[in-house]
Amino acid sequence: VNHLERSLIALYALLLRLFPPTFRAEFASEMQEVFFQALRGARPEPSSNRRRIEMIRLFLREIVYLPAAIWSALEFRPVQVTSGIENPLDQDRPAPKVPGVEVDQRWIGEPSGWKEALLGAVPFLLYGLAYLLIALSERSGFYHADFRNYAPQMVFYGSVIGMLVGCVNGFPRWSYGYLGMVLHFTLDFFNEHFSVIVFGQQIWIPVLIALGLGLLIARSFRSLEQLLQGVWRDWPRLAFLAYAALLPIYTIIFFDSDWGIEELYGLGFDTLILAAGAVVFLCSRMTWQRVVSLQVSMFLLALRGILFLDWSAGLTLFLFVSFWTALLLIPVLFSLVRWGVKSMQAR
Amino acid sequence: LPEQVPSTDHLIPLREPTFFILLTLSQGSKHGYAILRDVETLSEGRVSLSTGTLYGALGRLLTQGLIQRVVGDTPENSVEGKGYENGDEAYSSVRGRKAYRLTQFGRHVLDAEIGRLQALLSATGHWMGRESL
Repeated sequence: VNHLERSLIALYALLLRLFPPTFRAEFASEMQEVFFQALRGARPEPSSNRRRIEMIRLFLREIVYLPAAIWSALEFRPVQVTSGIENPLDQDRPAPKVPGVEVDQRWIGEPSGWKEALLGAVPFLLYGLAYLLIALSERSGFYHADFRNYAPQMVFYGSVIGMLVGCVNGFPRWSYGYLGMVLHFTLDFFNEHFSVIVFGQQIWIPVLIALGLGLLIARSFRSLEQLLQGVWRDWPRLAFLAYAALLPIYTIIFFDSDWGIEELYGLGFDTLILAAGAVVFLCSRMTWQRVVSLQVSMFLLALRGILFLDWSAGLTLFLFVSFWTALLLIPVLFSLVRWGVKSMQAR
Repeated sequence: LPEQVPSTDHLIPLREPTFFILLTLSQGSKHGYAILRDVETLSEGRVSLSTGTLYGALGRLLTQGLIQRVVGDTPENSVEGKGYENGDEAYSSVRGRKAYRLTQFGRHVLDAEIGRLQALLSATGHWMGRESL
């Protein structure tokens, strides 16, 4: 193995890090092996310049097709490997496609794929985008009074649609962000929202219609059962729901009437942090990883508040975040207590 | 009772790389590099897959149940003539290598695609023949 081969193989191993973890776990070693074989097969004669050029061409081909390959890899779901080709029972049997099986797996804490995780982050991104648009319109002088209502309504209706899709699919993990955002608007904990001002209590009507429609499309109440079972089996989902219902307001609560450039940066930063927290939560398998992802996200929100707001406002934000952090731990404590009781019973 | 074959409608037409991968596997189980090489040969160099594209496609075909992964040696897994040399074991665990083969459903999909292509060719020939008259 010459120096160029070693370098290309090392670089190729780095490229593999860009693939989704489930895909990487399944194929990375095979891909490395095949790439190595391709390099070996690329030589007309050892150490010739043509061989070097051909090897570099092979590596560049990997880079050019990398985005499409990653996109394709996002759709991969692990399947069972047949052990040995001589087992007649396993031969030529198509992989079974049983409706609902994937949903069942997601109940018990299986990590979401990247597409689902990004889907789960959409309400947070939409929320930040809506307020950025409001702020930019105010700063640029193109402000229109109705826009202040329309932008959040866009987020609300987007979340309602997400909740509807989640309902049809048995409320998988990604849909809890949408549920939380719907609660954020309908319950209006902070008496902040225009949507309640515009709709009053009628804001519940589209929510109930979407739920009814979801149950009608699913043709059963199983979705609601799955929602309850999902929470019961995986309490941190409730923490994620609360995260979506309570946290986004911190991105705007302290400066929505005074949009300086720092506030715009702050809003953008908070939005990305909230969305990243949601993505990591959805992609993580272990309960502690998911809890830590939400906690880290909230800690960064608080830190940003202390660093960039004045001290008293920052402290207030910090106390608020600490309070909600403690609140979000309650579902996790439930989970731990239940685990402890089960362990004791098992003995 | 005859076994019910799942519908192939949602999978047809196949994209060219997918078609060539399935066609390659119709001759028996093969490991990744053999597929890569055979696709290039079959397509006369037009379809040259990167490993990322190949394994993205293999992952999708596995999920769809068109192919199956098997562990163990196959004739195509032989080390001879595949670019291995002494000292290359660090990159290749030959005996534990995984190979891929068509499932019955995959063969059914491939047959359906071949039938579709034949129908296209037949219609083209028929039409051109009529025009030339």
